[in-house]
Amino acid sequence: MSRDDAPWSERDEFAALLAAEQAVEPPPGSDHRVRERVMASVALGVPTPPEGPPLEGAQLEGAASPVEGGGAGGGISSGGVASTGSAAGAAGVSTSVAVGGGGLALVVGGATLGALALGAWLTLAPASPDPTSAPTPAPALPAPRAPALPAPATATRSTASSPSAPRPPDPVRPAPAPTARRAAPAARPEARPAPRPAARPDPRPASPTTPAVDDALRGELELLAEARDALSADAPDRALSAVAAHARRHPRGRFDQEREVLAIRALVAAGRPDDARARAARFHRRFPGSLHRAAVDALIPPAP
Amino acid sequence: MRAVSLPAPDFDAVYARGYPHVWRTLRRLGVPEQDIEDQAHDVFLVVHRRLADYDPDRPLEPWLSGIAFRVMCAARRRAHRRRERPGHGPWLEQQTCPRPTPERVAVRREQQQLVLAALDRLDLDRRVVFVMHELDGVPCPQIAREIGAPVNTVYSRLRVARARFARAVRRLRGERRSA
Repeated sequence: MSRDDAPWSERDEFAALLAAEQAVEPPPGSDHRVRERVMASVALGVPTPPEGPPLEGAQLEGAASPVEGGGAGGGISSGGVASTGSAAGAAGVSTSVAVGGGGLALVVGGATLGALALGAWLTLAPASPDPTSAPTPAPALPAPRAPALPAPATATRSTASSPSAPRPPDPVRPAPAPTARRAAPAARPEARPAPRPAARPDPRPASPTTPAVDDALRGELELLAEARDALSADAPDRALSAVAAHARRHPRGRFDQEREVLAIRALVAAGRPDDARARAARFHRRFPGSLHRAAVDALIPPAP
Repeated sequence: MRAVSLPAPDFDAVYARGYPHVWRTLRRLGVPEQDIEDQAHDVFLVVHRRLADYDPDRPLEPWLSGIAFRVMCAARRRAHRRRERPGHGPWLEQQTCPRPTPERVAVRREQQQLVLAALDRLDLDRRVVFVMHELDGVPCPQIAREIGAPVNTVYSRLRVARARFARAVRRLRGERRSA
């Protein structure tokens, strides 16, 4: 702490407190667990999760502070929330439809892997800082510290988990619309009823890795990627077989909703609108609050 | 800015180096223990997508902190809708730290709890500034850049945050001693 806030007698104590917190490490296996999920999400083309401005309530008396308005091209302005509903719908649509062009376009939302709103995700361009105008920062604590970070580890791990998924630099970038940046609560009434894995039949491994679970996950991902690739290649029948294989092998899989979305897309692409409609209706019955609701609706051609 | 830009860093390298930092940052921003990994997942999805835009001249950790901050804000907003209460779970009790003596561990754990409890008394805008500056050693101009706030705002938040943190620590300490 700085001099002005703490008397001399307290400074050492505060420094010790903060040092204790700096020494905290993630629990064992945490990094591995998360990494698996990240790679799975990347492979699946899960839309980038929303980033948000601070909560309104977080800035109580700071009302005058022009904070999150500027800098970052994202304009973290609190106005974003207002546009949610329609933005969500639109985003869902664009995400699901914009497959083509080699992009990752499987519509997968946060229901399983992440709290990933199908969202109007507005790029937060790297801030355009103006450090020149900044006064010299006040020194921090009594003992200057280097950022408490481990030395950079070399990149030894392979990204083998996502070979089949092309990863364009920008899988899901809706045209940046400065006003519609928030994703979508309105479209997701049940928004993440529980932390994802817990809501699923397969329990989260307690240990860092549980091969069986990982294998199942990988198997699911491969089939879904196959279906997605087939759709991209305009081969809906092949997509339907992959989807059927997924349903057969992973009846209680983590990505059943995503599978159904792919199936509906495949049916539409195969020129079977009635089947698509029926399947969509089943989808809505089975997953009433799904994140993919809007996307599914957008896929269905209007009844003749 | 350099004339020649360096190649974008490899995701694996960023992940390996950045994960502990992201984890700690989310914890310090008040993300409940059971949600930290979920949000870290979201953070690294953003990182993965934005890596191409990342300027390697820019220090990595503050950049990650900024993303973590925004991701946790979005998550908290959702949590508010569900009327969930953020807070720290009992995991501090379980955390193991094999090296030092048990007494030392106990002291440290108590210190960590005190820090988190005091951080809980800060509103989020000030909290993130305090965490980045006091715990990560990030200079204020850089904090301003990463969280998208004017630098003077960052300074004033830091000032208030320090005072409140100190007050909270005193109060919490008093409560513990008299308990």
